[in-house]
Amino acid sequence: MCWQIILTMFVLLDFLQMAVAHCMVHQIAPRNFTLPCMLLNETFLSPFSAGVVESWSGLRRDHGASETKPPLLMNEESFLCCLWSDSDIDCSLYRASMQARKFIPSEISISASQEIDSNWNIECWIQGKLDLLVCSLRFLKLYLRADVKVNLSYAVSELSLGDVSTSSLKGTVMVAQCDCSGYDKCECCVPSLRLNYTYIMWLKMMIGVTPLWSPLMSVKPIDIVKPEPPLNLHLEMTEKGQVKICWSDPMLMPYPLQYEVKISANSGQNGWQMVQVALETSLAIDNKLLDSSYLVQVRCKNHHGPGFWSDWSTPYNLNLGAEVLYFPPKILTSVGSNVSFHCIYKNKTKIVVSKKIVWWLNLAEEIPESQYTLVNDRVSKVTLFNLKATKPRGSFFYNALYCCHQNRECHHRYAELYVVDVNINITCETDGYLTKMTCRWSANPNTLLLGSSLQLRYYRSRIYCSDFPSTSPKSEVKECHLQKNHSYECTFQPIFLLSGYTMWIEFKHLLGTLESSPTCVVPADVVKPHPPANVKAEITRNIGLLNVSWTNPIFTNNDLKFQIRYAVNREEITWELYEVSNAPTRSAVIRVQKLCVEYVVQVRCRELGGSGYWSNWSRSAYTLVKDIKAPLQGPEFWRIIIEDPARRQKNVTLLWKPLMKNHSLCSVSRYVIKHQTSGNTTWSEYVDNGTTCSFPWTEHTHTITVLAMNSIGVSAINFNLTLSQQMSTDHFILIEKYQFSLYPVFAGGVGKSRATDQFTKGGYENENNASLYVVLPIVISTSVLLLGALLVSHQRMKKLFWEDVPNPKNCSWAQGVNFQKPETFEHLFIKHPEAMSFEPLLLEPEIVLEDISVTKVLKKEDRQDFSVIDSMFTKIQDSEHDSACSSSHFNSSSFSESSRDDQIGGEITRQSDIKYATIISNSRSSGLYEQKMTLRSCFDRCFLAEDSLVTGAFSSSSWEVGNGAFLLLPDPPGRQPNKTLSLSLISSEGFSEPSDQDDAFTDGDSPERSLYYLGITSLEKRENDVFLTESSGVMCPFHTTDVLKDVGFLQHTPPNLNVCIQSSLKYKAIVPYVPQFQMTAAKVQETTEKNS
Amino acid sequence: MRWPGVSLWGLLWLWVPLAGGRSVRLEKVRADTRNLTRTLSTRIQQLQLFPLSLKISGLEAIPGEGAPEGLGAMDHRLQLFQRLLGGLAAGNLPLAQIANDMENLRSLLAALATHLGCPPLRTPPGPPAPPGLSDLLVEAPHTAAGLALARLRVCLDGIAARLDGLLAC
Repeated sequence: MCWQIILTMFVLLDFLQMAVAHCMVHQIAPRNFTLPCMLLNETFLSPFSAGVVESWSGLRRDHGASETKPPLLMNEESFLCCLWSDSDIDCSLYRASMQARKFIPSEISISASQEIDSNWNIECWIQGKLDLLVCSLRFLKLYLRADVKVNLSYAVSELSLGDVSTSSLKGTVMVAQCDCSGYDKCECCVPSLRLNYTYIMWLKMMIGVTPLWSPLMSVKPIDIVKPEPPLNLHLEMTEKGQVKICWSDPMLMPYPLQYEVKISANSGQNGWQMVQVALETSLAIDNKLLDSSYLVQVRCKNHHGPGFWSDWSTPYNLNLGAEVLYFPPKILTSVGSNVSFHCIYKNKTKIVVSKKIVWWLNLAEEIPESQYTLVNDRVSKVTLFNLKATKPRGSFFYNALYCCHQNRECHHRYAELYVVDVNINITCETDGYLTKMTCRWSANPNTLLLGSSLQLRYYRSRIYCSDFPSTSPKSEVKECHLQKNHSYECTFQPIFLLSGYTMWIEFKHLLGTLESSPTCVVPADVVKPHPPANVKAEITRNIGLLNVSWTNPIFTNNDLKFQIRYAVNREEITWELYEVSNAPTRSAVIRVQKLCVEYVVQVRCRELGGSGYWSNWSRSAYTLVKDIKAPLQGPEFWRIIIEDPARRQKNVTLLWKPLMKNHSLCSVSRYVIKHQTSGNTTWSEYVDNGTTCSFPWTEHTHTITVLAMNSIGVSAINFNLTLSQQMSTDHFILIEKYQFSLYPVFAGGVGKSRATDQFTKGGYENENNASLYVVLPIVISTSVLLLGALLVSHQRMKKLFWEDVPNPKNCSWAQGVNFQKPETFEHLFIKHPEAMSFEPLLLEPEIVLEDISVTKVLKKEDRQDFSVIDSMFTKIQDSEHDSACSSSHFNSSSFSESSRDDQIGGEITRQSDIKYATIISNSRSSGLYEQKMTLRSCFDRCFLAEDSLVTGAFSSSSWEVGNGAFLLLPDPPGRQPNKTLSLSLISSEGFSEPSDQDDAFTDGDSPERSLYYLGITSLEKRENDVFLTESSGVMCPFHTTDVLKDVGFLQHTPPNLNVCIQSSLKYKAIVPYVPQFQMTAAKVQETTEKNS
Repeated sequence: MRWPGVSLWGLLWLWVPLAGGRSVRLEKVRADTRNLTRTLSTRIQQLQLFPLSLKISGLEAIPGEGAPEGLGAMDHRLQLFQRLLGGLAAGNLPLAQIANDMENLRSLLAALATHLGCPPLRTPPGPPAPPGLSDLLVEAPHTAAGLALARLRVCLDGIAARLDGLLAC
């Protein structure tokens, strides 16, 4: 055996010498490959010695031969190179300096084709996470598997395989343990990969006691990557309505991938299958595939270099994924834009035709059909116009767009619409030194999307701005700082003063990028200059104007305009503004009201053309209060004369009011008192402090003049006082009002005066009541008008009265009375035996007979009313003051039927031809109702509603009773109700005079004043309207004649009645009175006679 | 027969606002140029590097202070100053601002030349740097800056004065 080996070695000597230079290494391919392993015998292996190549050959291809070969001794410093030939594999130990050379594929194929007992099937790959090299060994001969131990040795080199020297591997060999717990394979893992390094590996196996070595293998990990399968398979729709299957790369791969898409029928492997290659992460598929249940799987591998195909991805069912598809599924857009969405809607298993698709926004608003477009029979498109910013609704920052069936059935999936307001205004300001431009902009944080960012981009033009600024890809990002008020501030420094800075805000989001409309700013146009300097202010002497001067700020030209604000310097400053345009003198003169006060003045400026900003206000300048002119006038003064009888001398003390500043302009340094006596002697006195001066009065006449003096001069206008021995004391005129002002005088000047008005005689204070001057004429004029109205009404009343007087032939009391002469019936009024209230009897026979019936059954409260009436009538009868009219106005039957009182009935029977009144109960059968509660508040006298119409209206407290007629009988003041009732009803004369009106009626020559005034409203039913009050039970019938066409009311109504009437009843006119007696119609008379 | 005449008048009337706009634009450029030279002069004055009365020797590389005639010569002179200041302005904000202003000023002169129908001023790559300039900037940057700014200011004042009159190309 050894001989054979030695022989073979010599035969192959030439070849081995060639192999000295190159140690061939098997390059691991990204697929399975087979390598032979050699049985090495230590006896053949001599220790390394320089320059000596130990080789071993004779690994015969025949079975079992390897078992007899002696093992080759190896250590970590020597490497085994194996040479393949058609018949042999010759492995030798080479010096460490040998270079490696990879097998050419033909050699590999040759070697792989050999059947050797020790051949192992090897597969190495890099896991998808690119951090682990895995080599899997499979035993081709399973009997070798028993009691096997495998180690994978490897060395890493930065160099490529052609450059690798085995010496570079010395000392860097590492060993990876292999796991051989599997049935027919071992798995070795090399961690912490360097993808682009060269790994040289070999396997050392111990099968039982037999050591086996593999040839050297080399690999670059990046060449044998096996990626993870693609993820996230889903369907998407293109703008044209085509469906495509999309997926994601498994992870960030260091190189582009290629893909294979397998579409297969769901029935199983025997079904239809189609594989397509894709270079992108999507592949368009036929829409018809959506109708069936197809499965899609994708795998990937390195697109350009070697590598493994990944496993197939998880199957994706096209049928389930295509229920509803939107294009695009999400849109990010800006306010005011228009967007369109496409939709394919499959309701369960059936495609919904596009014309049956409707669109809903947020499940709340159906989008009008006019905004739909039918792309084809499956795809519907909707366009939304002029979008408004999306308002966050809870945690949803988008609008949800739903594609639904027209039967209002929607799928739960929706498209998302994000509308962001990117109309962000950028304002810039250049400082006064023209070196820095600060730009500010703000965005509403509520409208920003999560994960979005804003940044300012700009580019600069050489000079000026273009007419239409636009964005540019050559722009730069400007760093901006967020301020407290949610605004951003960006600073450019240094600046190009006349360059145009075109700026816009870029809104970045995962869904896309939006840009605000660009704006262009030239820094020179937005300058905020420094405020004017050296501001001075003074009030000019003699002229009295506020003169303001200043210096223009630095870095400004002369084309500036200025604003001056000035105010009196006090606690609460009220500024006044004065504008100066283009003042080359840099000063201004302002007319001011007060000259002797301190003014505070500030100035600011800006470019005259209007560009830029106003500067800040300058520092304050203050005027000095100093004398401007000589005092305008001397002080007013008084004198006090004190006579000293003992000395026979009079001392005069002068008092004067200190000059105010508006007269002194602005101060008084001293007062000068000039004296001139009758002896033509003049002299002056000076008073520096104080406002008094005393001197003896010795001459007959003594003229004094008080002058005021300041730094400018003395007052020109002054007051003189001439004292004369014949002068009388002053006195005040009594009827005048004087104002006395008290001025406190302090050391620093005169204080504020306190004035009071006084009169020399008491009682004039009332004159302050100015309202008296207003009220008095009104009262007088009103009285005149009332008097006139009274006269007119009396005149008219007189006319009416005489037209409707009763027939004297039928009235006992009227006999002998000449109604043509009012004075003849004066006694009718005078001889009334009792002072009773005037209670007119407005009884009309016609009305009584036709409209009023008497009830027989009375309610309890009605009885009370009747009792009043009874007593009243009793009193009437007892009084014997009533006179009967032959022409009966009253139906006696009414009484006989209605009254329970026999006495009354008897009385009426006895005077059957005279009917004064009809007693009316509130019997409902009679059709005549009383108004109880409501009317009682307004009328405490006679008021009865005739019919239900009126009653109804009254019961609701409304006075709008249609065409009903009301007769209102007021109660004279100060009169007892019972008494009033009785007297009013039974007065034989028919007229009663209230006690309080006796005076008015004592004059018998005034017949027209004998009546109370009656007001009557005009009703539709103009006749037979009767109203009775509940309390009195008095019937007040009347007949509405032509005179009473309009509504009438009592004019002299009590105050409460007036209020009630005026507030709730509309009426047209006032009739002063109605006739109290009238002739009964013939028909009525006949009826009456029959009844009696 | 009258149409051709009407059209001619119409064209003339149309030309009036266009010509007016051109005039306004020219005046604005002229005014901006004048203001910028003043601004630059004020900036240099604010720096107050050293008194101008001193006579410094060994600075032949710095351009002269006289304002040249014609827009082209002005631009040429300013370019020399700009190059000099560009070497000095690193990290110096006031000088960087002056360099920016010079850039704008040259652009304005170019715009003026365009308005006046002059040939383009900027002919890349521009005039060669004066010999010894780089050495000067390394050896005596303060002196170079002071003298350059002083001369530049005089030059700018001269340019401003010439802007008021008729400008030659």
